[in-house]
Amino acid sequence: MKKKVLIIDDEEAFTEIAKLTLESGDRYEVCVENNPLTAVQTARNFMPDIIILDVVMPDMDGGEVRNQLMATPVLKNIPIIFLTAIVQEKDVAKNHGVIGGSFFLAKPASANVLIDAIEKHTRS
Amino acid sequence: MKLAIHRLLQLVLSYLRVRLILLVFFAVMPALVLELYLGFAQRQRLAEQTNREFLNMAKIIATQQDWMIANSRQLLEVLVRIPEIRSMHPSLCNPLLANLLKQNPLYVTLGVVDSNGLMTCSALPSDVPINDSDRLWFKRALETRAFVVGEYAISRTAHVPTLHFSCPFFDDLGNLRGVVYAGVDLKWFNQIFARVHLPEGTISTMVDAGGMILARSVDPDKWVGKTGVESLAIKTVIARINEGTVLGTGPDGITRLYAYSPLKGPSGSIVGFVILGISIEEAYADANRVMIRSLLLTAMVGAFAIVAAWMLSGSFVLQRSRELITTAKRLRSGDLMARVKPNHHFGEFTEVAKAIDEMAEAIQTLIASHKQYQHNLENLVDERTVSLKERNDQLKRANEELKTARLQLIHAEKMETVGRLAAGVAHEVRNPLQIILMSIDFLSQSLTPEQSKSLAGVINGMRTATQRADAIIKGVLDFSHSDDLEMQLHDINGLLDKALLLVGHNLNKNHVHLDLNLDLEIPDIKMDPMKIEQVLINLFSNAIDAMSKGGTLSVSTFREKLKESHHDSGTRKAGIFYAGETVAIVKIEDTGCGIAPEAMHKIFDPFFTTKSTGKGTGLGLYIVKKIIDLHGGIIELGNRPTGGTYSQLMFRIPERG
Repeated sequence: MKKKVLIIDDEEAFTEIAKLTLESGDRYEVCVENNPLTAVQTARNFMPDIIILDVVMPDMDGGEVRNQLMATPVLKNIPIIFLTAIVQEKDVAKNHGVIGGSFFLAKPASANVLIDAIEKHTRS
Repeated sequence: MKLAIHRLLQLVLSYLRVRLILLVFFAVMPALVLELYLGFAQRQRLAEQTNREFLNMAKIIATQQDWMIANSRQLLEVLVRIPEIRSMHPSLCNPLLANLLKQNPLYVTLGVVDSNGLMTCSALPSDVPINDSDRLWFKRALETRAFVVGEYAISRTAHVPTLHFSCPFFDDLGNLRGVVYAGVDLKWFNQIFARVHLPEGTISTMVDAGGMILARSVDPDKWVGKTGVESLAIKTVIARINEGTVLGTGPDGITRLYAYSPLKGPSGSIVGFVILGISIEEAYADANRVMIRSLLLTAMVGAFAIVAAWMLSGSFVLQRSRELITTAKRLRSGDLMARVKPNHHFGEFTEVAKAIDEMAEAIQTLIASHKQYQHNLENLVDERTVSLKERNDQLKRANEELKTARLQLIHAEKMETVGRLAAGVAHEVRNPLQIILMSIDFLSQSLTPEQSKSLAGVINGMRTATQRADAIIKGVLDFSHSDDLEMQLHDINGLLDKALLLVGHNLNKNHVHLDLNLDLEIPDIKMDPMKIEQVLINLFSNAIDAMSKGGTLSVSTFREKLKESHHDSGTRKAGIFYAGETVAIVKIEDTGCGIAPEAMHKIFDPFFTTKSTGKGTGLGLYIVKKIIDLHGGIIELGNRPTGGTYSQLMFRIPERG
């Protein structure tokens, strides 16, 4: 059974290549959302196993999106990985991927790093 | 001129001695004036006495004359009663007259003339008939029919200057029978003059009523017989009919005192005058002497008073005033120990001297207190200067600190801006990098094995380029966040071991031999271990990169007591180490290619690198320098004399306790 991955990022080029990359292995079903305002609804519709969430986005930042997701009972248990350029790899490494209670990945992250993280957080 | 005299008077009167002398002079002035007045009064009295005495002498002489006239009258009146005379017979009267002439030496001639003036009898017989009818004594005798005093004339019988007296005699009928006459030798008058003790220089003159000089005690031959009326004095005397004295000019032109007394005839008529003349110098010699003596005495008294005032003022007044002046001058010249020290207890000088001494004492005290005050003031100024210097130094330090703080603030603001900019740039760059990296991964997975093989280099190159871009972004972010230190005491040797472990792979790869020489006793140093680790890794990496063909990396730590101060000027937060301070030093040396001298001054500049493109960001040493600065340390970097480079980090050892 494919794991359902929702990627919320305003960068369409990224969501597109990320979707291609993740789906190329036939292990993941990927849904992308470039508009943070409709992210919750998309998540509700898609019901992903994990959400890859950008932080810096127009109209609504990743933190607010996370709050809304967490506020949605059907979505609140879905693990969220922040994939963002606002943190550095060393900071993430120093805190073992957790910053402020959330999981973080520093951009640019290779496909393997991303897949490892998805696998790590969907395992449980 | 007036002004000059006024100033001269002021100058002269400004001297105390002159004033004293003037005082004395004015004090004795009334006495001197009185003395002068008395002198003049005495002279006047003496002069009047002289006048009186002189007049008395004239009167005495006149009295003698009167006596002589009276005697002559008596004689003639007797003769006219004698029959021999009345007979006018020469044989009878001549012997009688001759005898009488012998007995009366007063007379030089005696004779009788008839009513016609023919001489009938004479004590001095004459061979020739003599007629005296022209004589005044004959004429007057006829007129007055009584005894008369005749005029001066040369006796026709005695042939000498003679004053004649005559007395007529009559017959019973009253007819004139003849005139008896007697002639007195004028020399007799001189005898009278000589008999009276006249003052020396007195000229005695006898004149008849007409002013003719009958006798004169001086130069009688010259003057007798001459009419002296031309003499002003004689004129004056004749004009007066009384006795008296007068000052007048004699016939010789000399001003004299004249005393005159009239000679009176038988009827009381004035027949002549006795005039005594004496020069006023001689007449008033005594008076003048008295007056001169008085003047001299006055002058002497005055002079004595002035001299005494002059001399005594020196010892009584001026000496004491000089003491005051001398003391005042000494005080003026700065000798504040000068004192008058009066010997007396009373008096104005003592009061002034005491006042000066007290004033000097007060001045001395005042100056002493002034000096003390000045000394205190100088001390206060010195203290205040030191205090001000300290305050100034404090202010300078505060200013420096403020300047540094301001620079730090500016820098912090700059860094914040840079940080924000870097974060923004990082975000904006890393998003595309994310796309690129993921695309590379996707593409590499999408290739056939053949394609993968042939495009492996391209794929790797793209991946490396992406990583390099990410490394640059990392460096920029590190740079922007390098101020955030988490300071703690940490073992520098342990940190070196860790860093060396991290670069161990590169050491082996480049065949670099490690020479480690650590001071194990070195105390922990206050640092941000991660930042210092970053520094050490950077320096090791540079050293290893410089020894691409192998070499030796020498790493040592040691303590050193500085012989001189060290400071790293030109840095934002300069570390300053003072002479005598013990510091911890980390020294890293390589045997690599070294640094080109022209590049030496730029090695700490941002984005400066000597490495080939792709091998360095140019931010490494810049960040290293910045981190060391933030730690208050000093980094030195240079070429070793034997080749290769060295870098030395100097840290402050925290004080124990």
